[in-house]
Amino acid sequence: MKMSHPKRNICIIAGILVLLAAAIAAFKIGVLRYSFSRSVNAELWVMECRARFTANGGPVTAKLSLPYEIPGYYLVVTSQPPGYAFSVQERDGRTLSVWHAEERTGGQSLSCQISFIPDASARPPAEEAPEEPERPRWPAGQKTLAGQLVRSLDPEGKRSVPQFADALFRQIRKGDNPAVSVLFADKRQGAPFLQVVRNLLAMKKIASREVEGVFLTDKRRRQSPVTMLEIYYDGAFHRYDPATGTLSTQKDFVPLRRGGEPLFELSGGRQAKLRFSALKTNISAAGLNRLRGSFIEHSFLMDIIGYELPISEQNVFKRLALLPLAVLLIVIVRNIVGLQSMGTFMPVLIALAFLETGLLTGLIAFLLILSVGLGARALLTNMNLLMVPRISAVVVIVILLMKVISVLSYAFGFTQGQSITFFPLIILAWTIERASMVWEEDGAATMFRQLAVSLAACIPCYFILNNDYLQYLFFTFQEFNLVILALILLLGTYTGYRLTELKRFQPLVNSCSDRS
Amino acid sequence: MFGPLLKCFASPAALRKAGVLGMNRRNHDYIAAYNRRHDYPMVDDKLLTKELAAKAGVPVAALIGVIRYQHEAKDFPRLTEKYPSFVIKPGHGSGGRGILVIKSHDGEQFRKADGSVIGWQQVYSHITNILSGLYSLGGQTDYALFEECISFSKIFSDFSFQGVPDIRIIVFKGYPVMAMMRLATKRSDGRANLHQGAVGVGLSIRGGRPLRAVMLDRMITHHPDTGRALSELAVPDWGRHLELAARCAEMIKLGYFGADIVNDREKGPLLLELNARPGLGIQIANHAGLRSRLELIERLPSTETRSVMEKIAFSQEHFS
Repeated sequence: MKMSHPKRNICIIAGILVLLAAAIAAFKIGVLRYSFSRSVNAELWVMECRARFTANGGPVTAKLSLPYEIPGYYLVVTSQPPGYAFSVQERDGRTLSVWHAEERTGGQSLSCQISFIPDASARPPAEEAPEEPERPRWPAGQKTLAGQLVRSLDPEGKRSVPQFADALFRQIRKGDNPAVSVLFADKRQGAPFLQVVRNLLAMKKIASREVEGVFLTDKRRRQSPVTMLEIYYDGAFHRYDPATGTLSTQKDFVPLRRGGEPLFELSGGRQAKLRFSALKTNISAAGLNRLRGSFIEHSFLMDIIGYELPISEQNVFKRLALLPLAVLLIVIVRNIVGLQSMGTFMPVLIALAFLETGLLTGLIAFLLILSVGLGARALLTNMNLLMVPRISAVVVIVILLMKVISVLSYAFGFTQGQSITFFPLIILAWTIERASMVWEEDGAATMFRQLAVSLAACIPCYFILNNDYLQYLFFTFQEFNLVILALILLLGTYTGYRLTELKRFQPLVNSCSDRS
Repeated sequence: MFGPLLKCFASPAALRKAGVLGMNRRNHDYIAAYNRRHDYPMVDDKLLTKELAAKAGVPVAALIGVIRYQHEAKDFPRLTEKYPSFVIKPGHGSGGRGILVIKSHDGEQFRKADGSVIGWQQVYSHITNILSGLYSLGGQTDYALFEECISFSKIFSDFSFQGVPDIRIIVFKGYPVMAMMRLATKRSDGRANLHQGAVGVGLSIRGGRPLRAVMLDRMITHHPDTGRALSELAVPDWGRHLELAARCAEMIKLGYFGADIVNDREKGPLLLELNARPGLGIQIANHAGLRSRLELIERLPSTETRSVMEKIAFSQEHFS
């Protein structure tokens, strides 16, 4: 006669649900690069590189060196120049954006947009220690001078690399050293200048390299690439501004090219000019996730998992996204704690109503309307009305009450009273009917106790439903609802004592006289 | 600081040791496992229960008639004119809701159990409320059941405030496992439901003798309104009560239910109604756990088929 209730099967189903949710979430984080963290305004940088040149009339190939990996960001490159085939290619550890056209004449303008997408999981590539620099070759007669200069900067050979670099730049700026005047005679700036500095560093076996890049600054539009010097010490390259000779601490420098590699290669054209501009936009976390997803090459699976509704429909689901969590709370209150609320899900419904009115306004209005409504219900009971007309009459009275509250609050200059609208109305009317039934059947004490439990359960529900982070989390990772479902299924097999039963059956524990 | 507070709570292990059945386990392991949803109408529909009982030879209160439609409601005196007293019940009511007991009447004035007199109009609107589903489970439309009034044994009259004292026997797989007498109080408004404040007196399965008494989950020794010592309660014909309860298991397919029985002065024990979800307060009134008893029965070999009388004998032997 006994029906089987395979608890094990439920555990297996719950396990599958949790694993499924974990797999989908892992896919969203790992492949679609969604993020758990919800900074209200994430910064999204978009850098535009524009190359102008004159085409010679034949096939044109242009290659632009793209930024190296930047800690905390990953890059997405898009470009749609008319008439050109665009591709992103990897070569010798560098990323190049390559444009190609078969036949072009006259002024050309190519551009690409590089989006720097904040990414907590992106790690900077480990930098290998550079080889010891080769002994530099100096023009005739300069070798001795250079040797003297280096010795004068570090006579006892005890200076650290940054100290030596500091001293060197200071000496160059002062310009009163004859060796400096000779060595830098016609090389006051640019690549030749950097080459001499690097040669001097190399004499002390200090590795260095040239780097060209741009600053990711919102205000700098149409900037040209800047060349910097990177000196290796303490296990990493440190960036120096050659113009001032100081350590550059600006974090938003985006290196585009290092060492001798060319920044821009052009075949079939001339007079190339490069301009960069960076633009910062603030983007919501959800928008950022959408953006992250949109740059990934789409497959059928991804379309299903990352499927998004139009924005207007999404807003409806945002409200619903957290309902399962509130429902779980009710399950816990009823089956684990063992408190009886008025109607199973009434606390959730009241909390939903409060979302529209705000908690305090909602509570006050709720209690006010409830007490007046109960009074009206008592009057109606005396009239011996049939049930449906009686409930309907209560609804009408509640509507009128709301109208009165709205008008009064408007007259007194409160705007919140007006937010009590259509949706809470039904819930209120129903609550009043329900409360008065309980009052009649089980007495006022039971009714007040159930109401108190309902309101007590409603407040945490409200805070759950109103929590922006949870809303973001459950809206972005809707598969978490599967975990909630699994939890509810497991709670459905909980046959242990409820918290209130520990008190209720306490008298049974002492000297229980049962033989069986 | 929390010491006195914690003292009010028993540890789950202690409750388990005492064999106490909790609400979750009752719902999951007994009601859901042994009672099929499909069979619920057999207990929720009072008319159906009556018909089944008649077929199985289980004595019930005599049926006067049924009113199903609103237009019939005004003709109710035609039904009741031959009966000096009667009871109106909602067909799908529960927990004693919507039961109107008329002790005497002349077709226009109706005297209720508490002595107050109401007019024809009030009886009529009570029937109307029943039909509109005010007292039925889920609020669906209902019918009104007219029964002969039970003249309960005088021996109980000192133990109950107004309402009919009844005996609830929990039956599991045909074995009576626990019993209590439910006595109405002023607090329970003449109704016999423990959660509404009625007194529950645990009765031993062996001899129907009172064990403990409880009101609103608290131990008492005397009836709060009549002042009678509850230990003096004695149930005559105890064996017939057990037999009636055990026979109910033969007529309905539920494995776990509560049978509510009243003792009529002339007809003896009568089945009042059946309950597919009997409450757990009976454990406090008996000062004994249900779970250990239910598990004892579950452990019996299923191949063993016993007659009603054998099952009663088993229960009387094992459950004090």
